[in-house]
Amino acid sequence: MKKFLKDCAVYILVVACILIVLISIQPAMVRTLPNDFSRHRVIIEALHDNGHQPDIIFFGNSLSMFGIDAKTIGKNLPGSPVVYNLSSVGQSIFEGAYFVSSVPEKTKQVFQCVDYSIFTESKNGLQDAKAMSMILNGYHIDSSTRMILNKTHPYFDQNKWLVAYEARGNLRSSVHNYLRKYLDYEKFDTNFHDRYFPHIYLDERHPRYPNISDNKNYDSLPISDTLVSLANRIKASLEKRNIQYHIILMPVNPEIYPLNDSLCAVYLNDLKSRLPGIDIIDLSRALKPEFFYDAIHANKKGAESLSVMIANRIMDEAEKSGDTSNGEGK
Amino acid sequence: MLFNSLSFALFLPLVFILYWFFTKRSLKLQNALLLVASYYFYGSWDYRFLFLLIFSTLLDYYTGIKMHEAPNKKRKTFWFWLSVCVNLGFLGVFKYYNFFASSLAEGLSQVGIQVNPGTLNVILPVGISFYTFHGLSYVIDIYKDRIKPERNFIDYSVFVSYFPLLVAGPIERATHLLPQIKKERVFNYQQASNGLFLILWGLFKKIIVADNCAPLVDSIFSSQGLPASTLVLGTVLFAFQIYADFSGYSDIAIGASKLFGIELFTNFRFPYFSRNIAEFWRRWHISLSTWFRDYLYIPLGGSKAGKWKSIRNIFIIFLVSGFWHGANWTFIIWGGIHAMLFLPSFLFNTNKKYQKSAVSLSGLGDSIQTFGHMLLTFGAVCFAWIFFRATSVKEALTYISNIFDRSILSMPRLMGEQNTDLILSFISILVLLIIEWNYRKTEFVFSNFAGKNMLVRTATMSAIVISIYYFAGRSASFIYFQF
Repeated sequence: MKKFLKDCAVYILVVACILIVLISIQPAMVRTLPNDFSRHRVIIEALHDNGHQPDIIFFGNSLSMFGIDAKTIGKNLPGSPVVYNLSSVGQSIFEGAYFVSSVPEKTKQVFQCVDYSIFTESKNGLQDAKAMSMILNGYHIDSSTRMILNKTHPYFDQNKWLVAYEARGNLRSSVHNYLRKYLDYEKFDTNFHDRYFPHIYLDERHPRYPNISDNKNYDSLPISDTLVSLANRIKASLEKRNIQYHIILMPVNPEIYPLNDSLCAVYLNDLKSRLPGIDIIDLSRALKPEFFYDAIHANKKGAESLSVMIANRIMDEAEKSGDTSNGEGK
Repeated sequence: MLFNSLSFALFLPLVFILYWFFTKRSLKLQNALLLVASYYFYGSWDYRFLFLLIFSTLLDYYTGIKMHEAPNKKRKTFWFWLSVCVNLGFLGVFKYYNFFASSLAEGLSQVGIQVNPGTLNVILPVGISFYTFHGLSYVIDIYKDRIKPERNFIDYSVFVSYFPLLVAGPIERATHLLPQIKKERVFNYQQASNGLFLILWGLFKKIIVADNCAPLVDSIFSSQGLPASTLVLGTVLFAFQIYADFSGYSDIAIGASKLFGIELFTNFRFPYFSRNIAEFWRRWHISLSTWFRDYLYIPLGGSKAGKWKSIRNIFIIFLVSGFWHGANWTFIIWGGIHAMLFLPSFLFNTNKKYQKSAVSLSGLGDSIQTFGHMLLTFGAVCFAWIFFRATSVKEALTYISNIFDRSILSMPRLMGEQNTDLILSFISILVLLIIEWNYRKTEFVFSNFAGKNMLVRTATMSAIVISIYYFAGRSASFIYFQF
């Protein structure tokens, strides 16, 4: 029995030591290895890069990652302001809110790009994997973010070791990221970590790409309170710092999702009335089918066209308000 | 409480420590502890199930004694049938009532009679098929005068509800397990070490192999319009999922039992290295197939009842075995397919071939032939698995008809992360096959590990733990819990 217990003690000790080492290197692994959420590092670095503070920031999900070319927008604005596209995979308004208090002093406009129908959803919260990725990439939550969000992900109040332990699935995700360039149909660019235009698809439209088949052709678009109240709190927080908050309803491929005009008009009016003071830019029908890579993501031609439209929209708004500087040099 | 859960990881060492250190090696106390632990283990699913288990235990305990004390054959037979009918009655109500009711209604509707027999909205108690068969083997053995009834209720209760085997086997026999329960147990280093490694190997099979295959199998079986090659891939993955899932569970059960000095039946002996269907059934779910052999096939006359009766017996045993798995025609057809696959071996008298020796490769020609036999057997088993996995006969037939398509020559099509999952699954299956191939001539994997160098043992253990840490599949229950 003694020998068995001694063996068990040795096994447990060795395994525990190995696990401690693995957990302690987990943050470095998350930062080093490729994964779907590694843009968190880009976002955190960009927001804390005091030498290169942006004038305009775009937050959003893959729709804006592929649809917003920040450099094109900057070039098309007077004075060529610095514009960053800090969108990331699956970044919702909720996730974007975690970065609001870190928006630099110099920034004067924040654009949140969203799915057209996002305000009908009552989903609330941040995925575990994203919270882990943010923490292990160096994100620190502050009191104003807690105030904006009301309720934050529990990982932000947990020991970092526990978060690092939970983040072990990152290795699997990294293997996937590495292998996908050989296994997927798509051809990928290497600019996933770009601050300006992280559009990773090389093809304009892949003919074999299966269409996303979820139904976006709604019979009604009832607005949920969850995201509306969050958006209002974000606006209030930014307004205190003289930063304008805009929401862009991103385009969908009209060939696959033909939107109902009258329904959309009611939805938009309702939205505007419930988000007073927030500039809502409806670009849901701004692009033709040939400007899409698939059902919802723009291709590079589409991104260029959309970016020019947004730049023009910014200039129009600036002219209306008599401000032509667009934040540049302020 | 699942074997692959944190609660079991705490429960098992706690019971181990209490068992060896706080019972003063008293057999009575050890058995009482095992009973309490087993009831706690079982009650952690749903305490209401405990009442059924205790009732079934009491019934078989009492009828066993009554049979033994019966003054005449008639009275003995009465107690025997009482136990059999009540045991099978419970199984019938909880597991098969809805199936029979709906099948009857469907059958009558074919001849124009509409009936609504109603269905029962009850949960199937975990492990009911397993502990019912435990009890049945006990009363049959007493009825046949093979054993005497157990008078000590605690010892008998441990036999029925011993936690390592309670919910998914191996299905034990009173002749094998009861003497061990009644005998003083002495701690054996080799036995306990083997148990520990078997538990770890079982966890590897379940968490890495089965749980990584599971999402791919679920996706392939629930999708439509996939190329035939993807469907074949789904079938092969399911073959490994169910094997790793069930044999992983058995390994953990056998390993856990070794820690308490009790040996359980071997349930799997590397079945995918079988060279014909008969050999496959000597290696797959051994405790169930031998149960049916001893308590159904042989009493029906076995293979000595003449050719036609023997064929009938073969069909009965396979069909009943299929039906034991679940109340669905898919399981019955699965059993029927195996009977058909077994029949040629029986008719050409090759079913006794490969009875003693494990597969070995010698010489190129011989190796190719052996490998070909193994591949053919595996292919046939995979074909039958389609019915086992499908939720209905229609689904299985559609799946099979879609396999016979030109797209069988195309590359399997999976989406996004599924490709990575597939590669990880293949790697884990390869590791499983390599290790099992190396141990195919032994009783179980890592059977000689207690004698290995400490460094080798620690390194192996660490490698398994690290692979579980990083590459654990989606957590899922064991497939055989539903049976």
